[in-house]
Amino acid sequence: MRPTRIDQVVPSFGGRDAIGAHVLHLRAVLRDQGYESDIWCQGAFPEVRQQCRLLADLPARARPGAWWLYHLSSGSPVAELIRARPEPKLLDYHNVTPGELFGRWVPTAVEEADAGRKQLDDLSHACRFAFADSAYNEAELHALGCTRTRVVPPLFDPDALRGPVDRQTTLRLREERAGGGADWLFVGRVNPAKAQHDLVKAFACYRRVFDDRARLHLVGSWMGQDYPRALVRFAARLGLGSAVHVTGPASEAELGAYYATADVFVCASEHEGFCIPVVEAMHLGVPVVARDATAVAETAAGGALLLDDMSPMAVATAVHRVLSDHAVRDNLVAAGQRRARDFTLERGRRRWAEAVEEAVRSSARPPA
Amino acid sequence: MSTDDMADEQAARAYLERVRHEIDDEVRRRRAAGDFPPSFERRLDELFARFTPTGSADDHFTEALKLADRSAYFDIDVPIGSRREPKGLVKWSLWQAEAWFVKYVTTQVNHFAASVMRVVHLLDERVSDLERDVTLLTPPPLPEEEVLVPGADPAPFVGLLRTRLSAPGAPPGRVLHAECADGVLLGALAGAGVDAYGIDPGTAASDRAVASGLDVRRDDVLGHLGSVGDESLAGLVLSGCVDRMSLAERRRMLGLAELALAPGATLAVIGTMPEAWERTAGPVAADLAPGRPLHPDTWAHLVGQLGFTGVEVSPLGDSFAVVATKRAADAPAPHAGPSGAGAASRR
Repeated sequence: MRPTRIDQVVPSFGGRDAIGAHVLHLRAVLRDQGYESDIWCQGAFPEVRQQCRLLADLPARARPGAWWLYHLSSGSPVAELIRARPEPKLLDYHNVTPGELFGRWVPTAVEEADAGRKQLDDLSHACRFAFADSAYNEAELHALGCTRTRVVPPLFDPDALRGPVDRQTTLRLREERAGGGADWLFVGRVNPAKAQHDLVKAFACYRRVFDDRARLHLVGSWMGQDYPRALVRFAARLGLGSAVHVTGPASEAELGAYYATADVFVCASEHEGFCIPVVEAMHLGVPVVARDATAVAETAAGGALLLDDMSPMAVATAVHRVLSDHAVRDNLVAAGQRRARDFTLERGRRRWAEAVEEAVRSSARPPA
Repeated sequence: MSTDDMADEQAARAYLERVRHEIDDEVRRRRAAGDFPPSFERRLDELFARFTPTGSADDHFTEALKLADRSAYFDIDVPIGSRREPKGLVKWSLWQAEAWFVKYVTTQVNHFAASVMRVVHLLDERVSDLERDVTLLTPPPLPEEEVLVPGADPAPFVGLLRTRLSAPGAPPGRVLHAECADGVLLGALAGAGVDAYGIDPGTAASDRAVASGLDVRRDDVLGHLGSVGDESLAGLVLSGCVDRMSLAERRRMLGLAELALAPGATLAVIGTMPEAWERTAGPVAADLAPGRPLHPDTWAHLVGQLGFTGVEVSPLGDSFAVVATKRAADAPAPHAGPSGAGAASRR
């Protein structure tokens, strides 16, 4: 039976993270499709509190005609709560970073990742249909025996970064650029799975061999304290304290300023289920150099220079080639912008509208 | 995807693949020419390894041993390539002339390094045996569930906070309680009609709070405050960690709090009186704690330095609450202390 309501559930709802933005866009798509739709969460960041409902207020009894769409990216008690509910369920799998990549840096993240993997196994069988950000994520669902799946990239608006940029950030970045040197940029949560330490190493080589006035900007919120602080100390010990900026979280306007002044976007991440910042960089005409890992090649699809050899000198040489060879740079930017056109918000909304209808149609009967 | 798009994508992939091969060749060529000294890359690895957390003594030592093993072999074949042909020839000639001597020395150095590493491995085994037998003196773990409620009855504090939150000029929004433990105070705030949520790093405590229907998530104070949007909170209650943090962490926490609070919002610090803490913590925990409680006057001084106004100190049994209001946007900026207490930033 066709649902009258599809409610989304996310353990923690934030306005600045990729999943938070995706959930908000998806609610609009669901409502446009004629479904009633709310966002439920265990906890919300203050800036988006008015946009959601708290699971503590969830009625105990099943709600007729209502389906759940659960967003899985890490372990949470909310997954257990939703699995136990009698309403039909859909899953949106954003991938769970393997715990071992956090190692000793963020012990709580290791626990959550392990719990997330276990919950993925449970939910993939309890849900009638699963969406995956990428074919890479979908393959993990298939490996668990989940067959009713569809790849649908997350919803985000790359054009939002073309809006007015933060004036103060722009002035500061321009002032730094006045002294010469290239600007490297990476955007993503600061944690060992994103391997920002490999970027610092590669950047140190680049400064030593090619451009001793270059700067590296690592933009993103911190996961724990140990790893980001170690990055700052590491850079300081290399004599790069004033050249490596571990900025912390940035607003959309600040992020726009970083992209607008970047010469190259460099990604050393060891695990990505999709990687929205790669698309943002391609969309805004910033050439991308990235580790060929997990879903990055699929997302970039010929729009980024992908590297197998991530030794610091190899990355530094690749960045130098991109920045010094205009033909390579122009080709890379053109290919990136071509690829990024696949991810406009309008296309994404259409894709999701079709995907939801497919899920509803094929979910008429519960999984065997 | 259209046929043209697919053709474009394939062409782009082929082009970038060619560029990648050229880059690989360049790296090989430059390494052979000695432009990229392997020792520099190795030094980067070694230096970063020094900053990695030492989860346990054994983990750290094993990692260091692996690094030492990799460094204990000296390559006999020196790079003889050169960007200029005559130089390459000179290097090759010198190498041919000196090869017998260099090989002779390097072989002995390699034997020496291998012997040293064997000794180190033997030492590792012995130390590991010792560690199994001896219980290392480690700092006592901090109790996961510290009593965070101001006294047995949170009602007076809740009343005080409500008055501030509903005062003219107070902004609308949520109130955060960090660290909220099992949520007794948070429950009292919610019961008084305050839209409050909590964070706590302790698993058991935060799970209990969630089970009792409170909006609580497991997170650490500095990490969470660093992620909250600027000027998005109507109020912030800090407790628990305020007694045990180092001074630098406390100053960073206050700086982040100032960023997260909206103009006119309320900040409350609930701490334990230093004398009471000395009495209850015990000598070992007191000596080994990274930081010790500050006096209420010190907290009042610190928040005043950040420009908070209406600073008020209320005794709450063995604890105290320092409550203050963030200055309104149009109020004059404060004079930061000599060490720049007001200059906190997420960057």
